[in-house]
Amino acid sequence: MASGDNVDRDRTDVVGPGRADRGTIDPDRRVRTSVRVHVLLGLGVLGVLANALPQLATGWPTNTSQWVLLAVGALADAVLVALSLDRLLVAAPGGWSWVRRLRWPVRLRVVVAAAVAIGLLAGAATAATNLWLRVDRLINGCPEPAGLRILTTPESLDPSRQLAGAYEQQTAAGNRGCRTVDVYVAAAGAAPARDALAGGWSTDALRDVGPRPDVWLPDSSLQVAELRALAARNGIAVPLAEDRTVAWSPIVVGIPGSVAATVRAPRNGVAWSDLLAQLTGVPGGLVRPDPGVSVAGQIATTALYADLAGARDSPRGVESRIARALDRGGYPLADSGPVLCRQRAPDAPAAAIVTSEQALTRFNRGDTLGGECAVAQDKLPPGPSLLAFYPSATPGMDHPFVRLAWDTGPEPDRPAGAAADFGRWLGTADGKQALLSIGLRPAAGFDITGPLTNEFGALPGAVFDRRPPDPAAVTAAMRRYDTARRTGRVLLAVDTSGSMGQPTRAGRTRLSVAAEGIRGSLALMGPADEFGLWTFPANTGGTGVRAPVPIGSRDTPVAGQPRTQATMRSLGVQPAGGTPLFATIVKGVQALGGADGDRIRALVVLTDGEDTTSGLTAQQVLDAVRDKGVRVFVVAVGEASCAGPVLASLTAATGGGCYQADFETVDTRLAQLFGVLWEGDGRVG
Amino acid sequence: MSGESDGGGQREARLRAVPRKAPVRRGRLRRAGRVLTRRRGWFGFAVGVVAGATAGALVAVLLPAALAPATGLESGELVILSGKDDSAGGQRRALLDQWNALHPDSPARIEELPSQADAQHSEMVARAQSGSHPVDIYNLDVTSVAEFAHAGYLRPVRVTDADTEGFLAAPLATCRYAGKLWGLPFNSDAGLLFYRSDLVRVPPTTLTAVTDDIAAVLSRSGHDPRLVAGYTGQLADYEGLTVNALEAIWAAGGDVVDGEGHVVIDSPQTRAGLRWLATGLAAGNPQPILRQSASFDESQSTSAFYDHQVLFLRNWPVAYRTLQAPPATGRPAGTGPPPFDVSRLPGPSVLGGQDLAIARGSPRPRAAQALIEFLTSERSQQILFERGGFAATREIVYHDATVVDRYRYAPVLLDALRAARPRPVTPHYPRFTEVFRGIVRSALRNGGQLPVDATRALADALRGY
Repeated sequence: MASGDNVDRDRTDVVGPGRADRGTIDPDRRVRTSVRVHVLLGLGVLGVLANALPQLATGWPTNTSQWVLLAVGALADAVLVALSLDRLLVAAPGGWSWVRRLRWPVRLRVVVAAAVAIGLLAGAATAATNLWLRVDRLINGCPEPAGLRILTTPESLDPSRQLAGAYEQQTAAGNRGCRTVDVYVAAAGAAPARDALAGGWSTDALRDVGPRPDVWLPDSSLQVAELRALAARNGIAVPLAEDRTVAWSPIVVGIPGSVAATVRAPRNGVAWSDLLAQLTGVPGGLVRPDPGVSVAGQIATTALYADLAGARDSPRGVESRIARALDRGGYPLADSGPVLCRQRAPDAPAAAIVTSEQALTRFNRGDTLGGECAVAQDKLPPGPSLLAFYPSATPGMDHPFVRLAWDTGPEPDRPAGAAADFGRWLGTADGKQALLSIGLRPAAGFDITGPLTNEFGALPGAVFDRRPPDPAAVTAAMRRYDTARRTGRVLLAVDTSGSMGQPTRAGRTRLSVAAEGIRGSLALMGPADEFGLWTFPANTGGTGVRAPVPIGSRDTPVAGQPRTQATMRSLGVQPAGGTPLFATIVKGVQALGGADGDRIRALVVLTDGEDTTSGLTAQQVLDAVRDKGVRVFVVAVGEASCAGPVLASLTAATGGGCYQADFETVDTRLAQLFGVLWEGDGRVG
Repeated sequence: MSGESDGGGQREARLRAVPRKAPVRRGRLRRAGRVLTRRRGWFGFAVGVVAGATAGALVAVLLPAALAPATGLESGELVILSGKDDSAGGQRRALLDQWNALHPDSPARIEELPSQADAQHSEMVARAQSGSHPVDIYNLDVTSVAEFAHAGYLRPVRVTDADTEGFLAAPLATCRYAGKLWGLPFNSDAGLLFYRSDLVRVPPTTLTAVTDDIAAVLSRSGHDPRLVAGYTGQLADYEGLTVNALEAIWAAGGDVVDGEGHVVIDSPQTRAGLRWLATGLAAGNPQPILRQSASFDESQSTSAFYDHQVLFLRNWPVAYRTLQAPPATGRPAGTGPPPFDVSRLPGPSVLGGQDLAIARGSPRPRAAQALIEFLTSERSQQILFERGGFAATREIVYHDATVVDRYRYAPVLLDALRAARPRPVTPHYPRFTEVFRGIVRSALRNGGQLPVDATRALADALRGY
C-alpha cells in the first residue's frame, strides 16, 4: 500500500522533467539500458541464489559432475527468471514506455517497488498455503502417508528395518512432523524372491512371499544378475526401473578377541591362503554361513577357493575343515544370523567366522540377529568380540537398490513415487549416514566412522575389491563346492497320523500334498547321497514307526523298485492314529548314529501335530538326541508349531532347525532343506 | 494484452496507435449485441423453442434415471483382498463357491495375503494408493476401518437399520466412522482367560484376585515342578503388546483414550494396570508372570500353557483348538496339555476381528455390497463358526446347539464380546499403536511408571505425528 502511494507521488513529481528530457535521445537510451542491465544483473544473481541455496542446504557438491550440474542449472535458472521478469515489466500497464518516461533514480525505485510487491505477493501466497495446511492439520492431523513395500533377504531384515525407520523419520523432518511414508519390510530367501519376481509377483507369491515390493534390497548384484538371467530364460520382462549399488560390505574373517593373539597376520592385505593357515591356533576352527541359503556364504566360498592353488589345499580340504568346525561347535547349516547367534551362546567354542563386515559389527554391537537372538543386547566384551581380518582383494557384498515399476498406468501411483524418493534419499548425506549406522559402507568418498571402527572390530580404512562379484566365477565356485562338500545321509520321518488325512484347501489330503513335496526334493539327491523313509505311527494304536525304505544310496533299489518310486508308494498309506513324535525323533537319531565324519547326518521329521503318544517328556528327548552327531530338523505344518519352546530348542540343540510351513509352501521348504543336506548334482534353486 | 506486448522495436509505436484496450472490447460487445438484435424475431423464437424442448426432454429422461436406485448386480469378477483363510477346512472359499454358483455373472475371488497383520495392511494401503490393481472388497482389520475411510479408500455401504439387525453391537460399531457405515463385520474376536481347572476352582475376576490365586497355588508345597509362574500373555513388541497392555489397564479401571478421543493415560488406575504387568514380570518368588512372556506371541504363550508352565493364559479363543486334548491312548499321566477351562478376562477384552468394506474404486459397488451381505448373513456366519471356528458377528449363532456343543467356550466368548471394547478409533492407528507400545515398553522397564511425555506423545500420535 505504502509503496503504491510512493510510486504515484513520484510519478506526478517527475512528469515535468521527464517531458523536458524527451528531445534528447542519447541519455534516455543510456539510462534505459543501464536499468535493464541492473535489473537483469539483479535477477540473475537472484536466480543463481535461488538455485544454489537449496543445493547448499543438502551439502556442497562432492564431485565435478555435481559442480557442473549446479553451475549449468544456476545459469539456466538465472536466464529464465530474468527473461520472464523482463517480460512482466514490459507487460505492466503502459509497458516500458511508461517506465521510460521516469527519471533514472525513480525508475530504479519503481523496479524495487515491483520486486518488493512480487516478493510480498509470493510471501502472502506461501503464508496462505501454510495457513491452510495448518488448519487442515489441526482438523485432520497428518495426511495418510504413502505405503512403501520393501523386500530384502532374511540376513538383511533387521538392518533394513532400521534403515527404513530412519527414512520414515527423515520424511517427517521436511514435512512439519508428518511422515510422508509408511514402510513395510518383508524378507524372503534368495530362491523364492527370485522366482516370485521373475514370475511377475503372482497371487501365489502375494500369499506365500508377501506384499508385492516397490523396492528390492538384495545383498549382492549377484542376485539381480540371477534374476535377469532367469527372466531372460523364461522370456519375461521384469520391470527393473533402477538398479545401482548403494553400499558395500567386504567379506571378512572374524576372529574372537580371546584367541586373536595366536593369529600372526596383518589385519588387512594378507593372502586368503596365508590367513587360513594361521587359523590352526583357533580352537573352534573356521565356520561359514551355508552357501545353500546365504549369498554371503557363496561369495565367501568363491574367495576361499580362489587362492587355494598356492596353498596346496583343495576345496575338499577346506570343506572338511569347515564341516568339522560346524559339527563340533553345534552350528546350524544356515545364514549368518543363526550361525552368529550360536556364536553368542555362552557354551560356544571360540571359532573364526567368514562373514560380511556388516554381520560382524552387528554381532559385536549386540544387535538383534533373529531367531533365538531376537532381542538386542549390550555391546559384547572384548573376549567374544570378533576382530575383522580383511584378506587381500577380499570381495564385497555390493548391496544394490532395485526399484520395481510394476505399473505404468495413467493412475498416479504413490507407492512408486515413494520408492523413487527412498532411492534418492539413499544417495544423500543423511541416507549415507543411515547406511553407515547399519554397518554398511556407502559409496566412495564418504567418511567411514562408527560403527565401522575398531570399537566394533572393523578397520575403517580397509582395502577391498569394490567390483561386483562375477556371476560366472561364483557359479564355477559353487560347482566345485558341490563336489567338495560332504554327502548327506538323511532319514525322513513322515507323520501319517489321522490328522494328515484332512483335506487341504486345494482339496487333496495333507499327506498327498506332503508326498508331492518329497518327490520334488528327492530329485535333488546326488548319486552319493543316502536316503531312507520312515512313517509314524506304525499301528492304529498310534505308536511305533514303520521303515518302508531303509537308508541307502540313490541308485540302490528297494525291493526291486527304484528308491523314489518305493518312497512314493509307501506314502500312499491311509493316515490313522496318534502322533508318537518324540519317540520317532529318539529312534531316528539312534538309527542314524555311528561315526561318519564325511557325511551330514540328518533326521528330517515332517509333522502336523504335537506329540500325543510317546510318553516321553521334552527333557528326556533332549537328553537322548544331544551330542549324537545327528542334526534334527522338523518341518511343522498344520497344527504343529515351531513357535513353542519344545521343537525350537530341541532342534537347535542338535544344530538342526524347526521350519514352519503351510501346505502351499511345504514343497519349497523341503527343497531348500534338502538342498543344504545333500551334495546333489548342482545348486538348489 | 499479449498481442500488444510482442515484437521488439515496433512495440512503442503500436502502443501509441492503440490508445486503450477497454474501448476495443466494448466495441466488440456492441457489435455482437447488434447481431443478436438483428436476428431476433421468428427465427430466435424457433431456436428458443427447440432448445427448450431438447433440454426438457433430456432432463425428463436422465434425471429419474440418475436419482432412482439402480437395481441388478454389475457383472464382472469381484476381487476380495484378505489375509490367509486360517479356518478349518477353508470355509471362506467354500462360501465363495456357493456365491459363484448363485451369481455366475459376478463371480468372486479371494486374493490372499500372508497372515501377518502388518503385511496385509501394507499391501492393502499400497493397492488403495496406486489404483492400478483392481480390488473390490477389503477384509480389513477392525483397527484399519477409520484409516481407510478417512483416507477415502472406501465407499460407504448403503443399508437400513433393519439390515444390520442381529449383528452384535460391538463388532458392528467397528464399521462406523464419522457417522457412516463403511462395512459389515465378517468375524469377531475377544480375549479369554484360560486357567488350570485342576488348580483354580473359581476363575478370578480382578487383577488382584489373579495375583492372589497365583500366590496361593505357587506357594503350596509339592506343586508340579513344571509350574514355574502364574500368568502369561503376548508381551513381545507387536500388536499383541498393545492388546495385552490395554486389557491390563482396563482391568485396573484405567484407560488410555476416552470416548471423545482425549488421551487420559495419566491416571492412578492406568499406572496400576501397567504396574501389575511390570512387577509381575520382574523376578519374584513366586513368579507372577512368566518372564519369557516379554518375547511371546500367541503361539508361544499357548505352548507355555500347554507345557504346564503357568496357571493362567490370556489368549484368543483360537488357542482352544491347540489346547484341546487329542484322544490319548497309552499316554502316561502328566504328559500332554493340562486340564483347563476358560472364563472372561478380569476386565473388558480388546475387540478383535475383521470387517468387509467396499473399495472406493470398485466399478461394481452393488455386486460388492451384495457379496458382503451374503458373507455376513446368518447362514454364512453359522457355517464360518460351526465348521471353520471363526467367532461369528451375529448373536443368534452363539445360541445354536451345534455350535455350543462343538465350541464349549461359545457362551463365555459371547459374554466377552458383549463387554469387549474397541482399540482407540483413529485414522492414524498404525502410528498410535507404535507410540503406545514404546510407552508400554518403557513402563515395563520402570516398574509401571509412565514416561513424562506420554500424554503428549499419544495425543500427537492420534493425529499422525
